[in-house]
Amino acid sequence: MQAASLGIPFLPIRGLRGTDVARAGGFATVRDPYSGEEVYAIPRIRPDWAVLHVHEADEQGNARIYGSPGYDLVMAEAAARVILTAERILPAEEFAAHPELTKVPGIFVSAIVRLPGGAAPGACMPDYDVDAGGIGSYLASAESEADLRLYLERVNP
Amino acid sequence: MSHGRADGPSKLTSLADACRLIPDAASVTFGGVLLNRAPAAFVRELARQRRRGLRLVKPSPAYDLDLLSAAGCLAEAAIGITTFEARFGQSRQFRRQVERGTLKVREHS
Amino acid sequence: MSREIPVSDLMAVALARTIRDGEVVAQGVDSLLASLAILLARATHAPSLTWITVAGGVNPDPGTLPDSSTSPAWLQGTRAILGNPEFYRLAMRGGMDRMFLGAAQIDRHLRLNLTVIGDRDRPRVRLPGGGGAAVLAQVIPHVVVWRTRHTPAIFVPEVDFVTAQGNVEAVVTPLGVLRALDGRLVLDARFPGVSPEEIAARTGFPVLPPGPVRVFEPTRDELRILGDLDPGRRRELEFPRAPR
Repeated sequence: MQAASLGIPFLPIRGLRGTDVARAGGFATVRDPYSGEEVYAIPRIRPDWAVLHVHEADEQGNARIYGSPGYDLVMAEAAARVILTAERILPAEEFAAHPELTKVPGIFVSAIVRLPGGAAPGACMPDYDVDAGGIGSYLASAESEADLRLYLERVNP
Repeated sequence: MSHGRADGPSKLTSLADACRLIPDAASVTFGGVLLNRAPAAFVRELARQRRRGLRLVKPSPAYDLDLLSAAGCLAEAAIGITTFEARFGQSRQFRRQVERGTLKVREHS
Repeated sequence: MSREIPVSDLMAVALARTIRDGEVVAQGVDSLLASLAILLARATHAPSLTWITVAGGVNPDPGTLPDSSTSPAWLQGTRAILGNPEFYRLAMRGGMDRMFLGAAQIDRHLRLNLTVIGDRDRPRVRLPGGGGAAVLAQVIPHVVVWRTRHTPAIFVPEVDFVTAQGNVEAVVTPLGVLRALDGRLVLDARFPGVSPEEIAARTGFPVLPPGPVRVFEPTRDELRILGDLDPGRRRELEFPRAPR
């Protein structure tokens, strides 16, 4: 996805030598025109959609993420379109007052949903941790199609 | 009187409408890493709406990958690593679909 | 000392001792034992190490060993957070010295399989996946692997799928420590009460060195500090439990 975020067709990557990851991926190699070093060319991945659950956002999709950002920022740049779900919606003035805290610029975002608890039963650190009972409930329900459908009706949203 | 820019239209929408933006066979990535900050509620709505043929890309998925695998929503997945970690174990439904041949996996380097 | 020292303690100390002071070290996901080893090394012989955790914290002070990667303890005391891309960029430009990885299969050439057992497109077993190990094992100069079991199904002559290979220098198991020697995996140390013959029998390829195999002995200090760092023995979570 980093190549997609740069708008380039591939990224030259060191590593992967002698692995089935490279073989199975069908990755080509390229030679550095300056040093002659041969590296793998990893093709760009450009998802149609990125869906990110964020802590705070305004109505135009400017978003703050607290704690570990994971890969969210690259995803927001690599995907063609972005949807956010947010714990909290804050007024635009909040974001105007501290734009340096904005991790996803609203100009990248197509739609936003106000969804407190939207990561549950997973965590949304630092706001809430994993709900072990909720994970267990999913794991048990997922064993059968019928139970999964009931789970989806019961755990809504 | 301020001549500043207007804020622009609100992009707020409902969960159901946001999910409807994503069609069958779309390629999608979800934020978060493993059990932290995945858009779990959104994923459940995708499953409720019976989306099909999705191509999921995510370096470190867990609940999102597993649930969509179980619900039959995915045609393929490109992942780096998937686990619910030591407390809960592996992504069983993902594993089951791959071993049955109903879900194709691409390696994420 | 006898075989009464818990295997998780022996392994944590063995992993800790691979770390050299001043190194930049990292662990991946599902890595309680490696995390404990890093904590132990920092508290003993490697006080100047730099620790980058899987949550992206830099030199955190989690206190005692947390039980999941979402625990806020991983970010306690950290003054910077590296997102995953930042973590990979640091490793790729040579900024990490050592990483701890798991693997489902390890072969005599020190190649690791974290991907599939059986055919790649219709596997018998789909494993969790490499999570970037294919790159990391070549850009990080010192890679240490650990497993909480030691069987011929794990230590195979040839892995089914080469997920990662390159700078693997040591493997720690409940039986002892194996090291890379001229591109082959060779037994370097055995834990107290474990015979070289037992290790040979539980490894799927010849692994014994020509001479005697030294016995790995933790010090009382190392064991005591381990107890302080993980009084709840959360390190046991990684060890196989009875089937439910």
